[in-house]
Amino acid sequence: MDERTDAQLLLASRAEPAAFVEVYRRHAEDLLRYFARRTLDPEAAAELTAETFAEAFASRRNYRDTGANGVAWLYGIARHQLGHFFRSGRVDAAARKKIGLPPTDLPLEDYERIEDLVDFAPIRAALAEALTTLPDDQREALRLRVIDALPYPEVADRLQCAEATARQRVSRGLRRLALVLQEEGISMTAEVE
Amino acid sequence: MDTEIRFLQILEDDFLELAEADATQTTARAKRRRRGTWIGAVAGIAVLAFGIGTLTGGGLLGQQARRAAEATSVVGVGQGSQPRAPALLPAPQPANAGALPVARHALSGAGSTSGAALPDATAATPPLTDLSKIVRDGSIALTIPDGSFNDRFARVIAIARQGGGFVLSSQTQGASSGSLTLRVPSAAFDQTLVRLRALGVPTSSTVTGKDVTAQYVDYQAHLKVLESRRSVLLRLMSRATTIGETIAVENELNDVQLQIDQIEGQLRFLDDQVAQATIDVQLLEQHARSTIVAPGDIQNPSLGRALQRAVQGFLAVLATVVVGLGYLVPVAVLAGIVLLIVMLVRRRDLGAT
Repeated sequence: MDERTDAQLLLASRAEPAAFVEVYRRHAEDLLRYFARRTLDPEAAAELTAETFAEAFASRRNYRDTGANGVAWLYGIARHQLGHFFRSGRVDAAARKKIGLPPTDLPLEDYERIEDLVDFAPIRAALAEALTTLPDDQREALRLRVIDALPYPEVADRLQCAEATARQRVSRGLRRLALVLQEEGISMTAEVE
Repeated sequence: MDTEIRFLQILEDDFLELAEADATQTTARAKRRRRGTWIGAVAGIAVLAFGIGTLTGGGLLGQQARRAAEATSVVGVGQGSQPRAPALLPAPQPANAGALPVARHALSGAGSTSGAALPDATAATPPLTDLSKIVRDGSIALTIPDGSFNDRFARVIAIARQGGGFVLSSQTQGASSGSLTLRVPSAAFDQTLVRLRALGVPTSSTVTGKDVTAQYVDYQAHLKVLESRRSVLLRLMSRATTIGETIAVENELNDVQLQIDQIEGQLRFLDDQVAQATIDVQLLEQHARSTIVAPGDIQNPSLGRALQRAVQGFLAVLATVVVGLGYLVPVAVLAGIVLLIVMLVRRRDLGAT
C-alpha cells in the first residue's frame, strides 16, 4: 500500500508514471459513481470516467500542489467533462486518443453494478414525473428497471426483447432523464469530494 | 484494485500498460534531453569562446587581420618592407654560426687535405652587414578610372623602366583589366611601389621578404672548402707518379669541380633573386571590379588552393575558439567554486531544518 498522498503521487507521476495508477485505484470507483449519479447512464458514466483519467494522465505534468487535496484537481477535470457531456450530449474522446487508450465496451454485467452505485431512493418521485417525457419503449424499460427494481432478464421478458436491447433502452432512457432532471435543477446527490 | 466492476479493472490494466510505456519513453526522453543539453552547452561554450577569441584578437583570424593591416600600412606610407628589415637582420647570425660546423664537417670528409683550409674559410666570412640576402616580392591591385586602362598600362611599363627594371610578363583581359609582372632592382623596389600606388586606388597590396642569408652563407662556406680541396688535389696531381694515382686524383678533381660549378650557379641565382625584386601589378577599371577578386585568385584558380584555404579557415576558427577557452576556463573554475559553496550552504541549511 502506497503511503503517499494523492498530491504526492500526482507530482511523482511525472517521472514515475506508475504512481498515477495508484491514484486511479484510489478514486476510479468514486469517480464512476459521481458520473453515474449525474448521468444516470452506466455507459456514459464509464466513458466519462475513462476520459477523465485519460485527461489527468495526459496533463499530469501540469499539476501543481496548491496545498489542497490532489483529488480536487481530478474532480475539476471531471466537472469539465461532465459539462461538455451535458452541453453536447456525447462524451469527448480526445484525451483517450491522445494517450492511446484502447476503447473498451462496457461489459453486460457492469450495467447493474454501476446502477447499484446510484441510490435512486431519494429521487424516485421526481423520476416518476420525468418518466412521462420519455418515449414509450424507454419509459417502460425504465419503469420496470428503476421503479419496480426488476433484474434485467425479467425486464427483457416483460418487454419481450433481448436483454441487450433492454439494457440499451434503460441506458438511453436514463441519459435523457438525467438531462431532463438537470434542466429542472434536481440534484441526484451531493457531490463526492 | 478492490472493485467488482469489470470495466474499471480493464481500465486499470490499460493505465498500467500506458504507465510502463510512458516510463520507457520518459527515460529515453530524459536521455535525449540530457544529450541535447550537453550538445547545447558545448556549442554555447564554443560560440562564447569564439566570440571572446575574436574580441581579444586571438587565433589565426586575429593574426591574419593584424598582418593584413600591417601590410597595408607599410605600403600606405610608401616605405615598403622597411619595418620588417630589423626582424630579418638578426637571422644571419645563427646561420653564420651554423655554417662553421658544416665547413669543418666538409673538411674532415676531405680526408687527405690539410687543416690549413679551416682558417681560410673562417677568415673569408664576410662582415655581418653584407650577409643580408633578402628576396623581396610585392603585389598590388589597383582600381583605375574607366577608360584609362591603356594609359595606366603604359605608365606601369614606364615606371618599371624608370627604376631600372623591366616587364617580365603581362596579360590583358579585354580593354579594361590586366596584370603585369615587373622585375626591378631591389634598391628601387620601394620607390617603384610608391609610384605604382599613385596610378589608381589600391584595393590590396602585399610585400613579402624571404631571407635566404643562411642558404647563401652555407653555399659560400661549402664553396671555400671545395676550392681548398681542389687546390690540394691539384698539388697531389703534380706529385702523382703512376698512371693509377693520376687517374684516381683526376676523377676526384672532376667531382670537386662539378660541385664547385653547381654551387656557383646557385649563388649566382640567389644574387640575381636578391638584386632584382618581383612586383605583380593588377589593373582593373572601376566597372569591371566585381568580376575579379584578387590577383592570386585570377592567376592560380585551383581546387587545391580552395581546399588549402578551407583547411586554413577551419584551423583559424579552431585557434580562435582555443584562445577564447583560455579566457573562459579560469572564469568557469571561479563560477564552479562559488556554485559549490552555495550548494554546500543550502544543503547545510536543509539539514538544520
